[in-house]
Amino acid sequence: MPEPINDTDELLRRVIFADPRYIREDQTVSSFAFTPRKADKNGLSVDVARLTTYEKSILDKSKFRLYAIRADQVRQIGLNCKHDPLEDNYAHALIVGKITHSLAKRLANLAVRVSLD
Amino acid sequence: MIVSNSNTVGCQPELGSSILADDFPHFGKRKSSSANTSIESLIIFHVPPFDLSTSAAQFISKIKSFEHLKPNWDSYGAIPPSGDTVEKAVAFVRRADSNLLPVYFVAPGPNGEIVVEFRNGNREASVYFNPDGSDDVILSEGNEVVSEGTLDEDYQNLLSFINA
Repeated sequence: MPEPINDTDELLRRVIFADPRYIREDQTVSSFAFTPRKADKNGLSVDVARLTTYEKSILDKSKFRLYAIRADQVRQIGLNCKHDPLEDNYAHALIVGKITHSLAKRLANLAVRVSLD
Repeated sequence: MIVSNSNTVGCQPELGSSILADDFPHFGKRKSSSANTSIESLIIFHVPPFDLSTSAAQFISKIKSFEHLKPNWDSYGAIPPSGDTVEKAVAFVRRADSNLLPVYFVAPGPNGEIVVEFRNGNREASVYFNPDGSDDVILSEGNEVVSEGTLDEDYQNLLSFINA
């Protein structure tokens, strides 16, 4: 059963770290990390941090980096988020709305890297 | 009586003579005449060979490598950029370099796009080359988007925004 997402909830986005990459040298992330693919019809996949752990969410530390953004920051730029539990990932959620290059850039600028070291 | 007068004008590059002529509409062939005199002044544009900066050459090499990406290169179904998209991004980096715009970052996107980014302090400019042939220019300061447009509309803004 989907749960409400609170404004204070942290949303986690897994970002590929292989080359070429969406992550710049200073570890900030480019807008492509928050750009939906054609297949992302329903929204952009994230995990709700409250419902998982960073270790689970990142899947493979050698291939991915994890970035966090608060739900209220997503809502403040005109997008929304909703819990979308999957069979193998209860924490799964979606950022919904029309994510243009400009909004993807704003999401990327707001995202903060989660360090697991 | 016709008097010819040639001048050579050294210009900082926008490569391609047609672009030069467009950029300097008051130059080129000019004619003035009085009752019995016609003076034709021909200005020859001399474009000095333009040396690409090392940094731009490296970014161009990186962009060219995107053409060899395989489908699903990011393991989430990413589509590699087409040859046309790569060519447009490369041509733009050359143009930007000729105008002393330092490229900061380039990356392929998940849908076949390429982004070329510039940064000056907290000012950022992102130029997107989309798979449908269109482009987008986004200028931002901190987390505020200052303007959105296309390269045709916003190239001069991009120059002044980043080179300010």
